[in-house]
Amino acid sequence: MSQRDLFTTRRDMLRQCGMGMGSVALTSMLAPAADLNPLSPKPAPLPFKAKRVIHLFMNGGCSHVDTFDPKPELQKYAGKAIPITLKTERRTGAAFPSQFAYKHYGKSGIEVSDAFPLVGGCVDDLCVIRSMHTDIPNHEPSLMMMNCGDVRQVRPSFGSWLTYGLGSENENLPGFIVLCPDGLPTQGNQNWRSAFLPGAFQATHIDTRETQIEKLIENIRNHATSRPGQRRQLDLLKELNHDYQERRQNDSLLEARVQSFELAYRMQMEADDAFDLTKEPASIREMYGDGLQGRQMLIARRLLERGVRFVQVWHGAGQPWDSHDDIKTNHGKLARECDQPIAALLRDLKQRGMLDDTLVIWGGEFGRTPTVELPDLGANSGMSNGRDHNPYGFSMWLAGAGLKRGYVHGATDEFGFAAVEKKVHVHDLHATLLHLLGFDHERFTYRYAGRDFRLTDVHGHVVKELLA
Amino acid sequence: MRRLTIVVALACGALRAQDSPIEQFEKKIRPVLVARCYGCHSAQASPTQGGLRLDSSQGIRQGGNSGPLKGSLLRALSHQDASLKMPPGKPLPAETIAEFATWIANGAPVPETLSSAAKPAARLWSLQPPIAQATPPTRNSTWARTEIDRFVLAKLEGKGLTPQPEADRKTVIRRLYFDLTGLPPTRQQVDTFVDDKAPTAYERLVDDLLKSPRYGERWARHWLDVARYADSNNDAVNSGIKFAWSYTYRDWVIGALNEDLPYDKFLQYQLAADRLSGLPARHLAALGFLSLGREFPKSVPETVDDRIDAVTRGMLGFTVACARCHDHKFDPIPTKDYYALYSVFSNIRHPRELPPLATPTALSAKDQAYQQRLNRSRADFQAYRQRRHAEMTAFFETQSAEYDKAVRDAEGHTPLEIEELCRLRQLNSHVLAGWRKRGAAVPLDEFELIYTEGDSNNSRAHLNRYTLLLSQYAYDGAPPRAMAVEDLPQTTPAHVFLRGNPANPGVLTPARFLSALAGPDSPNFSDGSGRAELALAIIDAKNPLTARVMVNRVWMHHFGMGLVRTPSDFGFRGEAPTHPELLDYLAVKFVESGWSLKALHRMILLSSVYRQRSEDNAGARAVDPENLMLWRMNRRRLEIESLRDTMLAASGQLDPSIGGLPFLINAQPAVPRRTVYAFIERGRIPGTLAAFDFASPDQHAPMRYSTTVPQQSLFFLNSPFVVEQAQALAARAREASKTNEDRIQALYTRIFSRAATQAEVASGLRYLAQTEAMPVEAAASPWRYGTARGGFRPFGVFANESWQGSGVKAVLRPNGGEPGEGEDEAVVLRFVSPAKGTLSIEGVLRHNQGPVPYGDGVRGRIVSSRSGELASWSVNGSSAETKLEGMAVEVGETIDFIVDSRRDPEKDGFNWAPKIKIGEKSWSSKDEFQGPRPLRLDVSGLYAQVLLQTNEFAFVD
Repeated sequence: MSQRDLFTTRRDMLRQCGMGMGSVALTSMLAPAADLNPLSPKPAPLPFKAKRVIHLFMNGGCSHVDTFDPKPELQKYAGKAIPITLKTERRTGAAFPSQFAYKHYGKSGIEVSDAFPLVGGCVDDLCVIRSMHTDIPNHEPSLMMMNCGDVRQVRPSFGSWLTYGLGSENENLPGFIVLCPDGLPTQGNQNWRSAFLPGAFQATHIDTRETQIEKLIENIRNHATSRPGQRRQLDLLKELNHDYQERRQNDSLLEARVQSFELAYRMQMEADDAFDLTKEPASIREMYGDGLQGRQMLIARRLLERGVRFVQVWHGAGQPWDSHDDIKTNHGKLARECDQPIAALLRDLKQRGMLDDTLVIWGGEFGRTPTVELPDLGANSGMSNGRDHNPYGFSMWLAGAGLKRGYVHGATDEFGFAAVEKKVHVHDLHATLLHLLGFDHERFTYRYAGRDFRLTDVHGHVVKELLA
Repeated sequence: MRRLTIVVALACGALRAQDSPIEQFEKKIRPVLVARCYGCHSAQASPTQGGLRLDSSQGIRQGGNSGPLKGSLLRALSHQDASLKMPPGKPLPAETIAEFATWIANGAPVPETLSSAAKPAARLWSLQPPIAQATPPTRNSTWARTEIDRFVLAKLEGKGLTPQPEADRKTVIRRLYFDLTGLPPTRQQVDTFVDDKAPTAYERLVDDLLKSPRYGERWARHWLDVARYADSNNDAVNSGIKFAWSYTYRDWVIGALNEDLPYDKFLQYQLAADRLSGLPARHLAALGFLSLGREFPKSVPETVDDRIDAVTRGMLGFTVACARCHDHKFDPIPTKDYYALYSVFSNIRHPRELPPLATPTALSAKDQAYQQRLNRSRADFQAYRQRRHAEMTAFFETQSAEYDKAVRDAEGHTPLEIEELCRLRQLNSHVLAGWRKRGAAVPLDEFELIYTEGDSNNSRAHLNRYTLLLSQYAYDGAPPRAMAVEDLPQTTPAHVFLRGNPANPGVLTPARFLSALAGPDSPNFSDGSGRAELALAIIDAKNPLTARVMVNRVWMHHFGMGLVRTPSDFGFRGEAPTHPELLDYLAVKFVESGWSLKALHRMILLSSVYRQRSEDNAGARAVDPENLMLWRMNRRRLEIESLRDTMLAASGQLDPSIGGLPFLINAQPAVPRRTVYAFIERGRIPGTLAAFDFASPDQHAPMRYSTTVPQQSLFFLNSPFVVEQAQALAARAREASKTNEDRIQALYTRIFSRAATQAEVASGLRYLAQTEAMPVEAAASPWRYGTARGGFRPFGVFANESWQGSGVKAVLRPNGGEPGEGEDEAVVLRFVSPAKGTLSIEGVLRHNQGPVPYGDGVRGRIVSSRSGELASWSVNGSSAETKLEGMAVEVGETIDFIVDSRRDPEKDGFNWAPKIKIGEKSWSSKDEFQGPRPLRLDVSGLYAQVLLQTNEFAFVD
């Protein structure tokens, strides 16, 4: 199907994603029943490199100067004012050197701090962007920007756009899954909302602390009868529905509903399997480690392997990386929790050949200031050993499909306050990711309330230099 | 669109080969014009500078006072000529200027539609007054019953199509029942109607159903989608904060529809009931339309935007919110119109005291206790503000020398320069303003201007405490109050926010109506916020949109799609009506009838179009596959409300009571109320509703999606709700009849309102002859959950992963919970010992306080049925290790973990997840936390469940 075909009219688009509006689907007589499931897989409109995405969200805002952006100047200026002043959420003071030492890793020799030694070991597979920037130094708008491409207005999340555009490779599982242990991150479900896209494209949130499958997916388990008993029920259902349809020809909605019962029946087994980590060999489980982060990275890999289109893994509820105080202790602890699991995920994807068509995204909603946060009247806990939010410059890294490997893109100023070289805005990141997934971000639209909406709104440019 | 910045143009680089000059204009030139030039050179600039208007194609072609653009534009942009430097200040980046050069070299083309004032408003069909034209002639003279039919038939004949004949009575009665009441007819009602040979039988049925109170419940839900109704702003499950009396708005809508309140009044009251004199107080509940939208605590513009959007798309089918950052690209809606409405909706607030809807009676002790707590919460906040204000004032006094100096230095400087001065000297600009005005910092009533981040957080905590209390009171049976709004005592007109950015004010835009409807020179509103005048303008019989939009919505719900397929967008980008004359006819008749919705329904339902069969017709399908011409009735799948309500009706459990507090839809056992009364949590729609395309209350919803996803089937296969109904159905069938055959007939009567055919009976008998082995039940849990009333009373309800009592607060979750008020409502986690041996207990009882502590925490106790109280701890913003060791325990002995509220019932959430060890065996209350034991079905229950899963159950012909 050519791109023009895909995007010509709204009705075509609805047809394309098998979805109707109002209580009668427009598609009822136009599409084969199987296409009525909005999550049926659909081809990308343009050549693509990546088929699926995993986004590791260091929510709260990971400090770039302590992890992936070495700034020796901060050492020189330690305790002294730096010649850059940018408005931050709270007051900050003198230069505050990295709390972690840096080392060169791999053939590429890219520097990574001691906070992430094992990820450092994978650096030859990473495409590190040191010139990210976003708009607002507060969590809520920046989370919205990173996930939905707009700081405030109700817009669909990246994962919703993607499942809308591509469906899911595995109809027995949700196409867009969010993993977060112990509750919800700041902004909760807003981070993965489908907004004006149909609810089917909203993420399913899974608390990775839970181990019971029923808490993972609503109504996934049957208690009323045995599995053979349920099969007999479905056989009777088929028979009754068949008689009903005999008298009502050519209505694919009827057939779609019949099929969706069979799909649900299979989904019960598939879901059990996807979340059952005991099915992994001990060596793999060891590689990921037995902590919560290891558990969720491994679940994530099993989901990707089963064709889930977009998996987002949050470090934890609230905003764990928000180290306004005690950054050395706090960042150190958080990095220790996820360093091994992330490195394991990268190696595991690679050894399965999945890194070639999977996009891995790592980062927070913004970075942190290179200057120390000052204790303020009634604000923080009165310590001077943390960093404030920094939207002007921060680091993210990508890995996998169609990206350069062992590559560093862009730079912040000598202190790491603001991106100055080859700046990459979050909109640009979105445009680039969509490009790798086979979409022109300017043509991937959805008509709603009188407008054609895009993930990138009116912004965004594909960062060609990141592409392999 | 919003936040078009120069950066866009900058980063775009060279024109790509495939961009046409017009595309280049749209992508590269226009954003710059909007961002950098419209401030002075557009219709919104007053006066337009230099006679130049860059927001219309005509203006661009003509140029301004300096002559045609071709000569002057590049000169001005280059800043070479000292007398003509544009834009003022820094020149545009070279790349952007290069774009302009390319564009001019290409002849400076602009799309014809570019314009604000010159928008072809006159051409937009929906802005023409509707005229009821004479019905067109048709060849078939027998099919049509009403005028509606003649309009439809003429179109059909024009395409060479013929309509379907009338559906049989069984089909028609089912269609009417679901359509008007959302519930099925009973078998008896079907039979009576089928046997009624009177020619007026159909008409009488329509009238009866319109009189049924079920009608209001069914159709209110359609309006609640339009009104983005919800019972909480966000995350109510965790925070407990709900809208206190949101249900009074929902119930008002139901009542208004049932009494056929004229639609013009229906709208007017929702916008301005408080501004109308002599209106009965009950209508104040209508204001929930404005007060129950999405609130953005940190962003007034978003809250206002939500109101503008709900009003304009919901009532006018006009996408005014598109004009927030720039003039509407397609429709005649300039940005100024958006901000004129902004001036209306930014000047309202929630009143301090919500108006009571019931006649006040003497306050009960409970009411008084709540009142006291509410007052205390207010007083605490006032005290906090006073204390912090004094501290901050004292703090700024210590800097008085600097501020005095700054006052002198600021003299004669622009506000922008003063802002910069403050930044450089690390001074607070609001304090400086106060110093300049009155030689002191800010007064108490403007204290929020200089809130520190901590003050903001603490104020929010105070406010949350108050709203939590209020919603607890409401859900504890407080006399209902209207979720009203009121105008600010001092209204301030808004400015245009250039490119939607509040920090970038443009021209002043006093409250007034949309220029496309009221004309460019209509007077400003003068009564308070202007809501009353806005309402009058919307319901003006001459308004070409209001009636059309509503008749289209009504048509949509009767037929599954509207005559206009974009029911909330009647603009250029929306779809044109398939039957414009019919739409106009209906709109005119609607207004003539005195805006009676029931008259409108009647008119539509009596038509032959509505009474058609839904059968396929291959020939017609080839010509009109989407049935735009209505050559048949559309077959429709029931919405979740009807699916769920119908199951309750079939199982005989449906609770017919109308209105009142919302119930939790995922509760076990199921609350058998109609789905319209379910608690709707904004931001987290219960899974059952979400899976079935329930309209998101985040925004106005023009119509629902209709998707088929396996989650829907999982609901039918496995949900406790469906299993419960299947079990109840089987039980009823068993009670009613002795033989399997009779039971099958009883089930068909209850579920499908008809008799089973012989073949169906035969297949049912075959199924029922099977023996179904019940699944093995999980081992019994040693844990029980309840309150301390009468020693121990098990909780009756499980919802949202927690056990709940009938009161408003008592709840137990895997890791803790919250006690209700008083000894009786203490929560009890009970362990029934399955073993004899030596017992040890571990755990931590924790009580958290927020930034502004209140209440007195909770008390936790461990009590054995054999040995009495073993230990007790009180925590308040603290935690206690709850460790016991070496106690002998007997089989069947109960160990109760009891938590009560102490004296003060506020702020009593706690964490406590004890672990128990007896000998080598251990139990964890958190890991083993579980809801009610799942129901298991015998073969007749399984059979009933299958019938509930059929397409016949889910679809209406």
